[in-house]
Amino acid sequence: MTAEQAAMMLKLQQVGMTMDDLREYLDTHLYDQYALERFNMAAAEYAALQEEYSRTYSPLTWHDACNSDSEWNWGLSDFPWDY
Amino acid sequence: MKECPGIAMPCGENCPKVGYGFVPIQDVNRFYDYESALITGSVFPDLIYPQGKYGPKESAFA
Repeated sequence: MTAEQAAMMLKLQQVGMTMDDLREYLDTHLYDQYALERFNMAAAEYAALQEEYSRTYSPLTWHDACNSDSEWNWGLSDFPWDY
Repeated sequence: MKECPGIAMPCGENCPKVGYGFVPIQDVNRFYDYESALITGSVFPDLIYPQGKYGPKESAFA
């Protein structure tokens, strides 16, 4: 894994953790506008990062677009949880 | 709880608090940034009670 890939993976984990924590908070504060705004901000950032990571390196989930025309790299590359 | 019946090492006044009976109110206007949240374990600074900040003494069991 290159340093750039590792940095992007770490950023994904950071944004993902914030979303997890906010989801737990929102489960008990269903109408908290400020938290909703923060969650949507993080969700948009996570989606963009995921798309870029999958396009640049390898898919994060099996339903990410395959970035190869000749091989199924979901099966060929290291799985995200292997890092 | 002055004495700790049943614990081999009576800690008297130094008995460390090992848990909190409630979850502090989270001020949702105070957030950690992504990096700090992953390091500390929560996006809410109000929920971060590391050893020392929470308990006046180091854990007697450390």
